[in-house]
Amino acid sequence: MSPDQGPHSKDKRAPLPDSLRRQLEAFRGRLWFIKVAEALLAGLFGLLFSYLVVFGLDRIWNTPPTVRLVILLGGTSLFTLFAPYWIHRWVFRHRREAQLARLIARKFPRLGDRMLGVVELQDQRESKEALSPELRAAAMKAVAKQAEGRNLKAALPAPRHIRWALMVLTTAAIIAAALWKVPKPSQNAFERWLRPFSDVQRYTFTKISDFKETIIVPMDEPFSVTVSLSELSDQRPTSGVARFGIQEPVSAQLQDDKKSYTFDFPGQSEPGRVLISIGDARPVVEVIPQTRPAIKSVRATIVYPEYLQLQDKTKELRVGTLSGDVVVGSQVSLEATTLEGRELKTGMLTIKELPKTTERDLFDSDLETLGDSEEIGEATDNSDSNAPLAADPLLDGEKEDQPAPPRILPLRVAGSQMISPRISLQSQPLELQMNWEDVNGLEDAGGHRIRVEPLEDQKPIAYIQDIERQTVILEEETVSFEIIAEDDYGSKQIGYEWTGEFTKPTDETPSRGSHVLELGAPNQRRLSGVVHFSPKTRNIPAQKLQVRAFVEDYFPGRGRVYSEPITLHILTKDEQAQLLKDQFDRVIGELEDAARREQNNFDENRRIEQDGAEKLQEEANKERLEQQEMNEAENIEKMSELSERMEELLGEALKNGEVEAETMQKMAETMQKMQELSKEDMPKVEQQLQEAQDPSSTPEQSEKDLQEAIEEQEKVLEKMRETIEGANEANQDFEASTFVNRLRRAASEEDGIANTLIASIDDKGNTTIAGTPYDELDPVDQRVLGELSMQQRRTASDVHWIHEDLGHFYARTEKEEHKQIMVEMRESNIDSHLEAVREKIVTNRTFMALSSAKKWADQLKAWADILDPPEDPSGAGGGGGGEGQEPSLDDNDFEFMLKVMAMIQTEQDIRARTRALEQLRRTLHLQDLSE
Amino acid sequence: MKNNILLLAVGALLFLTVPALSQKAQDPPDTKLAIELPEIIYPDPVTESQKKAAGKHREGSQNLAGEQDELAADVQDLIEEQTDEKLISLLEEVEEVMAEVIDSLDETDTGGPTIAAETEIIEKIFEAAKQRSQQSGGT
Repeated sequence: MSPDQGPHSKDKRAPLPDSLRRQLEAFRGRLWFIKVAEALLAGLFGLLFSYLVVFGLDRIWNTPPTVRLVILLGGTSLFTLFAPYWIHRWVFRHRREAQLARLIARKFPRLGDRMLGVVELQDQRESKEALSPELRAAAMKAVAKQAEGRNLKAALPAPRHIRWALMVLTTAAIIAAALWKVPKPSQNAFERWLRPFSDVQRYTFTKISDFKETIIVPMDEPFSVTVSLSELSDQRPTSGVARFGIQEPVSAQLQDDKKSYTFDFPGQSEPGRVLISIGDARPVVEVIPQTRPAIKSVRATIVYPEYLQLQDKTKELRVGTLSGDVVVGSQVSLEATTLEGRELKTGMLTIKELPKTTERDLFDSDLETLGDSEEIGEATDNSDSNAPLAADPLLDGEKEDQPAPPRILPLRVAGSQMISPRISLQSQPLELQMNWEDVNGLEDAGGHRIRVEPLEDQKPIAYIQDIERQTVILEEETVSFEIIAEDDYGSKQIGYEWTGEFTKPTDETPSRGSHVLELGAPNQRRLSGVVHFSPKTRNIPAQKLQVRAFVEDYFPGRGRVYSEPITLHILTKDEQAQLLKDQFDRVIGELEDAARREQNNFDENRRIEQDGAEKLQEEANKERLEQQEMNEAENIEKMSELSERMEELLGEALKNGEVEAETMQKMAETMQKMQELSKEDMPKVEQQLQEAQDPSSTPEQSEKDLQEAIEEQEKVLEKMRETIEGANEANQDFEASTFVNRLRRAASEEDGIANTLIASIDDKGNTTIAGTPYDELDPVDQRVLGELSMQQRRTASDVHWIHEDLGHFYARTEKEEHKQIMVEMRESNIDSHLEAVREKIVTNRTFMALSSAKKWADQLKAWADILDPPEDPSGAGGGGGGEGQEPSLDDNDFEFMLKVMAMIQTEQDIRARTRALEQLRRTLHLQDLSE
Repeated sequence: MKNNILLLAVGALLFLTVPALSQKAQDPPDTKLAIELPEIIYPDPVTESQKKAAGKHREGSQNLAGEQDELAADVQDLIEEQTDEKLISLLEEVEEVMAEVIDSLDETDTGGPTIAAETEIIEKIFEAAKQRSQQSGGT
């Protein structure tokens, strides 16, 4: 610091002349006033103008909040940014004399510079500067004097405060006018301007009621948008315009209600916005096209009637029909799920009764009238009288002509599922239609229909298989057959029943009974079991049995349903022997026919041979030979069939057990010869005949072949004759043993007649028949007497034929015992006596009839014993071989084989009956046996 | 010729026996095998008619025992007529099995083991017949 610069140097500062100072202070005051005014007015204008902008924009469109915010910020920015800046610039930075002098220098450069020089002279230091204070003061005075003559206001920068003030006044006037003229929109604009993000809705003169800003419409389907005017609307334009995206705008007139406008748009597949313009209202609706809600799956839950005892069943309905699984009396409920999990709002179920479809035969005579609705109606009436719906039963045909009106039930909705209540099913088919609406208000496209066709619980069926419809068995035999039953839902049990019928009058009661074979289950549709039926096990004597299988299902009160019956002819051994005899007769007859045909073939072959070797090659003879070969083949086939029948016959005779061993042996020989003929001898003839036709053979060779065929055929004929002879011998033996059976059967018949008459007498010797004139008899007794009379007539006839047959038989065999019986029968005059017995029965002379019948039964048995003496328990083996002739070794073998075969047969019977007994034991709990 | 008849008889025997033997497969197997057979639980008769049926079963079984006994007697007779030791041995085995069946049937046991024993009888008789046939063929 220089020495002349001290703390008091400032005091030595030369002050500005007063006039100049006052001038500068005035200039500064003015400057400050103008610029502050400018800043404040500009800020005020900004606020007012921004309000006006919002007001104006709101009249055109719904100014978005962000735009309003920007406007508001813009408006206030004049106040918050411009005003401070302006004040800083003009007030803060123009507060010193030097700053003011520089500002003045912009307008008056010389004066300004001088004033700036004067201001700088104030700060000159005496010690430093060489100038004198007087000189400095004189300079200041000179400048002050120069400045006095000047108007410094001219040096102020262009003042704009008045302009700003005018603009403020103008905008304020506009706002005031708006507030006065349209106060509601003005106030609304003020609120929206002041609070851009508030939910204050834009005021429009045309006011639209609340509407959905987003709507979902069916995809690709025309749709409409309706908007309504609010009650508060100041304007009600007669039309409006709307536009979907950039598509052509559509217009709508104010509708008759003076309230709404409906804009119709074509189908859309993409989302978009609909801009609506009604008056100054500009509502916007977001449109989202969506597919209509569809069903993905429908499940039916079937609740079966209680009696069926079945579990509820759930079934996916892939087609629109529910049948086969539903039975009348069931209940069904439906559960549907929408596609893509579309949530549902509501669902409805319409239940409509359908007319029954009557199954008609193509050949039905009424087919022509099929188009006649009345007749169809009648057919429907007759087909079923059940109520179609539990809730609305139809009781008669007239009502059925007029189907009940459809019922509509609400569906329970849960998310994307809808569930129907349970619907009771009767015999009437139903159509169930489901309709729904999703949460977006889209409805289904036509709904979903399900046809429900309840079926009647059908009767089960039962049948018997693995057995002939007519089967002949011996009492000791066991037959096996299978019972099969089927039901549409479940079989409760199967079994069989039998009903006997005697083919001749007897005092015994025909057999009758039933047996439960297997128990079923509610869901067991098919039930089967094998029956081993043994008449002897069940103490069923020889008679005709009708056997039927039965099945029961769970339908209440239906009872047993039966199969077609089979008939079991249970025969005694003598009856079976007679049957075998008849069959044997037929076999022999056919064997004789075969022999005759063979003889004819032989004769023809010889004729061809007589024509000579040369003619053998001629076409006509070739044809004859070919025919001969075919004839031979036919005869071979016949012989083969006969030998099979003979084999079966032999097996049956073995089962009978009462056919003589010698007879069996002859039958076996016959069978063997038949087999040899069919398999060896006759095919040789056929072969030779074929070779005789060989075109490559020479005439001589052909002739030789034919000769060999004739030679073979001659042997065949001889063997056939032997076979027939052997068969006849066997038949004679059979017949002989059958005489025994026939006589014993006749005796049995007479015994039967006597026993029936005895049965009519009670323990005290009283009878309802004896001593009463025929006309006064009870009808039951009359019938019994009639049947006995018939039986006696048949027996008499049989005995007559036995007598006659014995005569023929003796003529052929000349066996003494047959002659003896024949003579005794003739001498006893049995024919007329048996006729007398019949007359006694007819005239109700009971005691005489039964004593005579008994007598003749004994006599017939006695004659049978002549032919077949009862076995002597002490003298075994002394009968047949009594002539001392040792049987040959082969005969012994045959006897052994017969015995062994009989043993096997007996053991088989025992085993079959054991099995039948076991079956009875295992099913003991199933039935109440009644025979 | 006689030999042919003998063969024929054996053929007829086969005709009768094959169905019988073929049933063997349906019969319950021998309990000696290591196969566990289902246990049959026989119901007890409760009602009057069930008791009647049980009586019928008992009566039938015992009747069959009688018939089996008669057949055993026939086998005994047949044994006495034979000279071949092997044949006699076979027939004696038949007789033994028959005795077993008689006991079972007498005790009203008509179950699987009894039926199996009856099947064995059929087989053994058939075996005896073959033995006799071979014996004759050799002479």
